[in-house]
Amino acid sequence: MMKSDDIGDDDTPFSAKRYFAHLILWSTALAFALIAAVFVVVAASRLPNAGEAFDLWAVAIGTPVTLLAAYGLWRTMPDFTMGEPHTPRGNRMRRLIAAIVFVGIAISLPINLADSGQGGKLLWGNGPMPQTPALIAVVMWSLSIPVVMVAGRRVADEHTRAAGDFGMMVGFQTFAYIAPMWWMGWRGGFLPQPDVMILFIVAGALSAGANLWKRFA
Amino acid sequence: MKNRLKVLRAERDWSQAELAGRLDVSRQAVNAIETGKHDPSLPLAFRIARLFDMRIEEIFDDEI
Repeated sequence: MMKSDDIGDDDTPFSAKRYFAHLILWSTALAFALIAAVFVVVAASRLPNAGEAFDLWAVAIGTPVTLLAAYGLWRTMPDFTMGEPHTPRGNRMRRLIAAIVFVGIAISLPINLADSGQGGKLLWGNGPMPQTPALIAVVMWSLSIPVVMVAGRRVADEHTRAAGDFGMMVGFQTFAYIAPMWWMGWRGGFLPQPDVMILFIVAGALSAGANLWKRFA
Repeated sequence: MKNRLKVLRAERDWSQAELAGRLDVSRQAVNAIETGKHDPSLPLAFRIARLFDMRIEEIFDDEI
């Protein structure tokens, strides 16, 4: 969606290409550092129980390397602002995005825990699931999503809000276009039963695409 | 709607992020206004006018 080196036509020093390259490289380095840290911790935990020579080497070399990597990552950490100004509204927006990520993880967690050994069938599937994780997810969704929606509306500036409105319009019009056709087709016997989640995902994806297009194109 | 926002910003040597901070909007909003992709609401147009100490019609023009 971003057409050039900068977001839009401007002469500001912010470069989207540079920013996202930094973000991707830093995230990749963080992933490697975390994996290295796990190796060091596992090796260190095996040392008291007559660990192998490899464990000793892993701890001896891995500890300073991991600490050095942690220091480097801390010093080169991106600001996560995407070039946006540090204003109270911008900070509230960033806190809200972090809260949305947290809510998403919290809602999926009970389903994921109940999913152990099924390879993600519960979380990513469309079939029945145990009552308890489903009930927890429903309660968490019903309580958190209205708060997130209202907070998102209040913290957005008018351009972001207009893009959101446009996205919602496209999403609902997609739903209003497809759902009755599918329903009639099912009643007529030539289409499968309408699936609410397919409609939700298609409408949501188009809504998000329209929102981003309005904001960045 | 055409406007002089980019010129006024450049005269003050402000980046889009700096102007966005002063107006309490996102940088994308400033960019969209400057490129004519978003027409600001009246309250935001008044904020812009006050910031540059000008009248709205000295900044925005729908006849250019």
